[in-house]
Amino acid sequence: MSRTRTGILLALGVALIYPILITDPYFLHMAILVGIYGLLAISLNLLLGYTGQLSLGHAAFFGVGAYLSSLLFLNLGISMWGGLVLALCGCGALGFFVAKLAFKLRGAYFVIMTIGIAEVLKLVALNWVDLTKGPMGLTDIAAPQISLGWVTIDFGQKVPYYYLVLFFISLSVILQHRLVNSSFGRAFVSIRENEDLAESVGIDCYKYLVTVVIISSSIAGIAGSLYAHYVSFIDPGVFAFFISVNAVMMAIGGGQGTQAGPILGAILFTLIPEWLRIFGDARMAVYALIVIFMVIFMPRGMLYYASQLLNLGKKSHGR
Amino acid sequence: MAAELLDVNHLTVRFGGLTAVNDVDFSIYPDEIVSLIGPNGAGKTTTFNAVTGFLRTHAGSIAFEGEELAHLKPHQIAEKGITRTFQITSLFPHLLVLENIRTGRHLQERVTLWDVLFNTRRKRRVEEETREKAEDILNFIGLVGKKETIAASLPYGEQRLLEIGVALAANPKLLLLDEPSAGLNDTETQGMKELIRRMRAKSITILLVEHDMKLVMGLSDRIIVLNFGKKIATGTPGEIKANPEVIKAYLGERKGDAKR
Repeated sequence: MSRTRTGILLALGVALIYPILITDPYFLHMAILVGIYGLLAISLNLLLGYTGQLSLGHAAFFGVGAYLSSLLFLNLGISMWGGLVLALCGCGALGFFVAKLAFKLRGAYFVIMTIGIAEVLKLVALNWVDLTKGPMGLTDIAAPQISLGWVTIDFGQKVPYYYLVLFFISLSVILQHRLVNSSFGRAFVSIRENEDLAESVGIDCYKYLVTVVIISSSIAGIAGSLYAHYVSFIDPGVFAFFISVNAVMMAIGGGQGTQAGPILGAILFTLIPEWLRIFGDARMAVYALIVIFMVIFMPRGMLYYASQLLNLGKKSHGR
Repeated sequence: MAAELLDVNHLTVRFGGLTAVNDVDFSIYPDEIVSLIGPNGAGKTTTFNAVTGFLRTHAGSIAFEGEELAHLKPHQIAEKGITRTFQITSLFPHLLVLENIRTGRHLQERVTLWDVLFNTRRKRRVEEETREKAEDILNFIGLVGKKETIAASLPYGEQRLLEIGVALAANPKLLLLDEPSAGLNDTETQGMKELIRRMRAKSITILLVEHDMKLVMGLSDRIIVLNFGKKIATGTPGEIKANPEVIKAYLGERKGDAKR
């Protein structure tokens, strides 16, 4: 376990000094996006990796978080801090209702339901023009400033925003760690492993599935809010199927049901499309090939194969 | 005699037009070992599934310590104190042996989401307790040496022991075992027999579905016989062995004896 601890501290250390080492705004931008999508991947992984339920509509919560926070700012002038709280609570509440409904079903039916919910919300965002400006989208979603007497931190700048995102990533990693190593986490995993057996020893699977969706959707809402105030423009594209699928790929490609996997996945699947710009128009086709390759040859996720490499010759166990 | 622990009356379960369990009555008293036997398709597993809430009953009542169970969900029935094993080995396959047992202790871990997120003292105490109790159970079923093994990679006989361990972790008053000795060799069956006796010694009442007649006869205080969904006999092993109805159900009847 000390190896894991060293790994975490090392990763945190690198993340903390990253903006000092790398001042190029492009790489800072990429790091912020990695962080925001990382939050989304962590959120999805709680559901997919631990309880084994595939959602292909996680963009629903990302999008609702983004719109709630933006509308609050644009219409009522409440800053991002209020928006984050509203996104957290609003998406948690939405998650509660969605889960209550969706977990009457399992398997393929559940997957279809999640896709449907995200699509419906996208249509609402497109057609409720009075509120959302429809396909025109919302603009000028500013980030706040904090004044600490002699210095003012402007979260419109990349470096402060980077640290803000890092703060939320760290918070959700701690939260996830505590959840996973508790009776809640064991209940989540028991649903993935064997729902009948879980029920037979007194685990209320439905209740825990609803719980995990509330937590997961709250985190996704935070990610959406952070996204909106970072790029300062959103349109119904925040509900796009592609965003849901990307979150799934990050969780699976990094290592579903592991704590570091989704972050690793977020790094990979945010950076790979960027590296592929050299392929010009063929970029997305090459990207798709890489995804297929990874799923076939690295089904357990990058984290597993990376730790195998580090453990060469040493016998490892566990998932 | 003490009051019934489990009192089943007029239990009926149908699958479409097929009546799998038809108007069955039986009672189980505290600290008994009772076996439910019968030919294939007699309704033994269906009865198990009805008692543990995995199947909806169509008529009749199932009372546990005087409380009606018929409309409760499986996890609620576990909370009342009934746990079970399954006919086909049923574990949390990708988890360590120790984690399997810890998961089984879920009902004993009274922590809130608040306790977990803020890592309160209570949560840490409960974790510690669970770890200790899980070790006790592993000692009891004889798998303490395998606690860091992935459940799916245990040999079959040990998987069956672990199943019982998971069910025991939930601290049941009544334990339902569905063919615990199926697929075990003689030595392992002997071990299973001893384990069942040791559980009873800990005041756990046992209801057993089993095909191994030697095991059933050697272990049971009472036997209930089902055939085609109906109860055809109940009694001590001696009485059951001598019962003509039971012999007929198991061996069939000669053509000349047929009445219909």
